[in-house]
Amino acid sequence: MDMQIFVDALVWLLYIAVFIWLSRKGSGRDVMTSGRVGFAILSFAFVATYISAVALVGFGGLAYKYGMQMLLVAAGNVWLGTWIVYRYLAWPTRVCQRNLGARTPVQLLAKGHRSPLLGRCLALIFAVFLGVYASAVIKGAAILLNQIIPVPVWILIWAVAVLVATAVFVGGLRGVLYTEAMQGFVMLIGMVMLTVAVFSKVGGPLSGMAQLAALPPAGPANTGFVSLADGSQGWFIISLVIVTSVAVWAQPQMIQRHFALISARQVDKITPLAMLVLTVLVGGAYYVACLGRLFMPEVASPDEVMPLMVKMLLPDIGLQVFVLAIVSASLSTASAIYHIAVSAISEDLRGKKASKESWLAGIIFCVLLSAGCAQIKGQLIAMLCTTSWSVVGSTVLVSYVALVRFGKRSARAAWISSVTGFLVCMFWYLSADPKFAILPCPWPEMAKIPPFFIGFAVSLAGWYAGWLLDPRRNENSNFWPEAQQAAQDQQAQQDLQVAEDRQSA
Amino acid sequence: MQEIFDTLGKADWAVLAGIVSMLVALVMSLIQLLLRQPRG
Repeated sequence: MDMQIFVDALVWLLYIAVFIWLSRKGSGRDVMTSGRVGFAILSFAFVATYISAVALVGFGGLAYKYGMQMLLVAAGNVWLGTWIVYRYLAWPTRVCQRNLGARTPVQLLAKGHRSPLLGRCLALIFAVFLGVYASAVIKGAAILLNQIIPVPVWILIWAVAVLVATAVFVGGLRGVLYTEAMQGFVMLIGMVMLTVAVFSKVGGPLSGMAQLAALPPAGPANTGFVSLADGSQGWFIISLVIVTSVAVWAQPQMIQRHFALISARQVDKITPLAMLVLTVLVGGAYYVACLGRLFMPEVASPDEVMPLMVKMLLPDIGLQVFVLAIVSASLSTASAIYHIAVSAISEDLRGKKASKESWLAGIIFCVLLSAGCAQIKGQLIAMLCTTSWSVVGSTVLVSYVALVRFGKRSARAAWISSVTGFLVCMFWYLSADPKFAILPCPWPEMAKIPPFFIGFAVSLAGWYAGWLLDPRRNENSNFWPEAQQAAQDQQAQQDLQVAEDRQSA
Repeated sequence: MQEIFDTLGKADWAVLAGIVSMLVALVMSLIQLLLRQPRG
C-alpha cells in the first residue's frame, strides 16, 4: 500500500516537474510570440487545445448513451476540424497575421478589417466568454482531482487556476505550447491504455461491435447502438458534429496556434500527426465508451461513464495516468483560453502592447473571474459556459474566413456580420434553448435548430449585405490571395535577378 | 474477412461513414508520417 502511494506520488511529482520545466521554455520572451517551435509540439498542442475534458469525459458519456453514431462527431473533428483547417486556413492565417503585424487573433481581425473598435468589442466578448468558459474547464479538473486528493473542491479550483495562470505568466505563448504538447502526449498514453483494456475485455473491436449491434434500442439510441437515431436525437448528433468541427475554426485559441507556424512545409508535417493523435484520442474514447455498455451497469449520469470504466479496468497506476490525462485535457484547454483572455484584457482592450504589469493584472483578473465563477452555481454562468463555442463561432467565423481565405477586407461587412451573428445566436439561446429560454420564441417550429446554425446563417447574410453596402469593397478585395501572389512574384523576380547577377559575375 | 463484413453490415450508413473515415484518417496519416521525405 505504502509502495503504491509512493509510486502515485512519484508520477504526480514527475508530471508537475515536467510541467514547470516546460512552462519555463518561454521564460524571458515576449508573451505573445512563440519563436520557432517544432511540428510535433505544434501538432500535440493543437490537439490538446482542441480536446478538453468535456470532449473526453462528457462526450464519452454521450457515446455510451447514443452508441456508435458518436463516431460521426469524431470523424467530423478529424476531417472538418483538423484536415480542412490545416489544408485551407492555417497557413493563410499565418501569412495574414505576419503581413498585418497582428500579435493576437483580435488584432488579426481588427487590422484585417481596418476597425480598431471592432477589435475592442471582440476583445471584450473573448475576455468574458472565454474567462467564464475557463471556469467550467477548471472546475472539471478540480472535481476529478478531488477523487484522488482528499482536499475540498473549492481549494482545488483555486489551486488549478493559479497553476494554469503561473504557466501562462511565466511561459507566455511558447511555454503554453510546450506544456500543451506534453499534456497531449499524456492524453494519448491514457487513451491508448484504456482502449487496449476495453478491447481485451470485449474480445476485440469487431466482436464488441457485433455484441453492441445485438442490443435492443434504448433511450436516445432509438434505432439501436450501431445506427443514427431517428428524429431530434439524430439531429442532435449532426449538430454536435457541426458545432465541434466547424465552430472550432474561429475559436481564438485555435487561430492563435497557427501564429506559431514556420512554413507551409511545416503544415504538411503537422496535419498527419495531428490527425493521427486526434483519431486515436476521440475515436478511441467514443468507441470504447460505446462498448462500455456491454460490461458496465446502467449509469445515472453520462459523466460517470469514463471514470467508472477506468476504475473497473485499469490497475492503480493506469488510473493515475488516466486521471493525469483528463487533468491534462483540462489544463491544456484552460491555459490556451487564459492566454487569449489575458491578451484580450492586457493588450487588445487597451489598444497598446502588453507590459509585464498589464499582463500580470490580466492574469489576476482571469484567475479571479474563472475561479470565482467556478464556485458559483448560476444560470448565467452555466449559459456562458455552454454557449461559448457557438457564440464566438457565430460572431467571428464569417469575417475570419472571408479575411484569411478569400482576402476580403471590409469594416462594414465585418461589423454587420459579427453583430448580427452574436445577437441572433444569443437571442436563439434565450428564446429557443430549453435550458436557457426566458424570451418567447417567435418561430416555435424552428426552435430545434441549433443556435450556431442560425447565428452563422444570419452572420453570413450580414456579411454579404455589408459587403454590398461597402463602397470600398472593390479596392478592399485585393488583399489576399492577390497580394500574396504579388509578393511571391516579387520574390521570384529578386531570386532570378540574384541568379543572373551571379551568372554574369 | 467475412466476419468483418458481417459485423460492418449491421451498422447503418452514418456509423459506417464514421468508422471508414476514421480508418482512412488513421491509415493516411500513418502513411504520410512514415513516408515523409527527410529534408534534403
